[in-house]
Formats: sequence, structure tokens, C-alpha cells
Amino acid sequence: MIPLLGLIGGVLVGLLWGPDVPVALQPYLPIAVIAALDAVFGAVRAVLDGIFNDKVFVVSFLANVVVAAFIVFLGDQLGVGSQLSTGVVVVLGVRIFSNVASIRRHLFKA
Amino acid sequence: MTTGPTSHRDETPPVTTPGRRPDESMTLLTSMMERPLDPGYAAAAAEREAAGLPPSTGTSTPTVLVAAVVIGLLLTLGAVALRTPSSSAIKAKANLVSQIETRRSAVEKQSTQLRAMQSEVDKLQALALGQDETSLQTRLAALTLASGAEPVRGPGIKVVLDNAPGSDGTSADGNPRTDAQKDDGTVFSKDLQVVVNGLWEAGAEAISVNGQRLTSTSAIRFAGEAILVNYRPLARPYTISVLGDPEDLQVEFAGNDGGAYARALKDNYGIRVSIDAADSLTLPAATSLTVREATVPKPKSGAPAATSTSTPTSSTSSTSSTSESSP
Repeated sequence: MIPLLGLIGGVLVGLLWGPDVPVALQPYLPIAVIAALDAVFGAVRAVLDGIFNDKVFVVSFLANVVVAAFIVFLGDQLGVGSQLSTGVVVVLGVRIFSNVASIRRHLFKA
Repeated sequence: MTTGPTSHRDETPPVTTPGRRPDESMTLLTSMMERPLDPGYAAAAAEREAAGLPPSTGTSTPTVLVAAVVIGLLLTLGAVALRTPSSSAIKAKANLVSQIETRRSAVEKQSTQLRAMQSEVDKLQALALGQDETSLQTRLAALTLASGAEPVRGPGIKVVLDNAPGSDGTSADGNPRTDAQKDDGTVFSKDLQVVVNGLWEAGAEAISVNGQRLTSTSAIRFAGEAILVNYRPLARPYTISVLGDPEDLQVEFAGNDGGAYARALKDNYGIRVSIDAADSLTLPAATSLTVREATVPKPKSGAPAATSTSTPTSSTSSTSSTSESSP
């Protein structure tokens, strides 16, 4: 319940306050969003597995976002930004789907 | 996906059988697919169990709340920031379109004004020259006719060139630059040049393309995908109005290089070419004429008239500056 309230609160803050993201940071937003989703689904699965740990969750979330942004940044500097972004999206996407499949098995036993 | 519904893949670590696993070369993919959950969760849970605590910390901790707020904020920011550029691009495009339209209409208005002023200049010129300078007057009339400084009317022919059917010069997304096979059925500036030169050769007295009068200083050229005549972009179809004897023009044009070129365009590329006689054509005056050189003629009867001798427009040099137009 608490995480859901926090999520809704964050969305509301984003909508009402609506800070402008600097243009320099905008290329990293999509990757950061996907990294955050990966951390969220991993956390949900951990909760269902009964081994959730808040510290691990926060650290994995921050590390995901930072590393993903760094990879995209590095790719931009090397001139292969879009390819590296694709790589990040593929890896995180596979993880998200596997975790979602596991969550689904937990919830629906199917 | 070979695990049963009750067994979790994390609890059954991959069996490390002696020897090589058959999929050893794909360990990265295997670990990615089979162990998507952060191993840190399992390790932390094991530590807590060893310390006598329940394996899970539960989700109702301040850390989780803060993290959830941050994630919600991040999702919203991403959605908002990545959605706005498209709408601002649309706005910018509409702005540009309206700018183009205003400027185009401004150009139209100024050309009309320019033509009015030119005819006024001509009237004043005739007045200044008076009745006694008949030789100058006739020379002036011949020069203005040849240079395209005034509108002309008379019989002639109309040559219409248009892109081949099916090649509109634009692709499905409306962007002419992304069209792969635009080259075949499209009228190029070179086609217009050759046809126009053929028409001059056939004895044309005056020519205009889509209302742009051709003079000795006119250029037909390409800018991107558009054909420019007198630095003004034209839209297809390209109508070439030619003044002259309709029959002679058609016969001569059919016989010379320009006519042969037009037939080749029609036969080889499917470009639509039509030639029709017209009883009465009106060609507008050229708007981009400017005096380049002017001399004072030797006064024969003491009249203070100054005319240009070897210029596209012949007009008195004091008033001629009004007939300049910058395209």
C-alpha cells in the first residue's frame, strides 16, 4: 500500500510541479525509465518471493538508472549511442519480461 | 521455461555437472533469462535469516516510500518531457507555414505594385520624351518589347509539361526528399531549359513560364526539388506561354532539338507534354529588371532626355531605380 501511495504521490508531484528536464538530460530519460521499471518489477517479484529488502531495492534502482545513463552517455561520446541504447533496452526488457512472467505465475498460478 | 509452476528458478541453482554444459557458450543469455532477479535479494534475505530476522523487510518502510515517490516522479517526467517536443514541433511547423504564406502574399502584393509603378514610369518616360523624339521612342518600344519590360498580348502557343502520372514528386509521407524513385517521371529544370531554348529557336517573340516572364537575364534552375524561374519557385504543371505565329511556332518547334527533346521526355519517361495553339495570350511584364548601364545620348535638338542604350530596360535613369526588385 505504502509503495503504491508513494508512486501516485510521485506522479502527482511530477504532473503538478512539472519541472522542465534540461535538454542535455533528455536522451537519458527513456533509458532511466526502463531501468526504473526493471527495478520495480524485480522488487515486486522479490515481495512475492518473500525476500524483499528495501536497501537492495533502492540500491538496485539507483545503480540501474546510473549505469544505464552512463552507458548511453558513453555511447554518445563514442558515436554509437543508439546502438548501446538498444542494447540496454534489450537486456532490461528481457529482465522485465522474465520477472513479469514469474510474477504472473505467482499471482495466477499459470 | 522448463520450470514448473511451484518451483522458483532461484531456489534451484543451475546444476553444475562435471564437464561442459551444452549451452556453456551462452552463459550470459542463460543467466539473463533464468535469473532475472537481482541476486542481492537472495543474499540479503539469507543474511537476515542468519541474524534471526524474517527474510523480508516488508514494503512499508520509509526507504521504499521515498524510492516509490522518486520512481513515480521519474515516470511522469519521462512521459511529459518526451511527449512535448512533438507538439512543439507541430507548432513550429504551423508557424513556418503561416510565415511562408504571409511572405508569399507580401511578394505578390509588391509585384503588383511594382508592375503598376513600371507602367507609370513608362507613361512618364513617354511624356518626357515628347513627340519630337520619335526615333528614340520607336527604339525604346522595340527594346522594351525585347527585354520583357512590359506585358504583351497576342496569338501564340501553350506548352504544358507535367510529371508522369503516378510520380507526384512526393512519397507517401509527403516528403519529396524521401522518395526513392522520383527521378524518372519528374520534370527537371534542365527539361524546361531545353524546351524553352527550343521555343526561342522556333521563333518565339516572348515566353513566360507559369506567369514568370523570361528575359535575357532570366535563369531556370533547380533549388532542392523545386524549379525556380526568376528566383521564384514554380508549382507543376509548368505552363510555357509563347507569343508568336502559332502555326510557324509549332512547325519549327517540332523540327528542332527542343521539340525532339520534348518528344523524348514523353516517350521515354511518360512526362505529359501538350502543345496547343492559343488565339490570345497575355504575358506579364518581367519584375526583376534593373538598369545596368545607361548613357546620355548626344542631344540632337537640345532635349534633356537621357535614355539607356544597351540595357534590358530602357528608361530614364532617374526613375529607373524604382523598377528594381529584389527577389
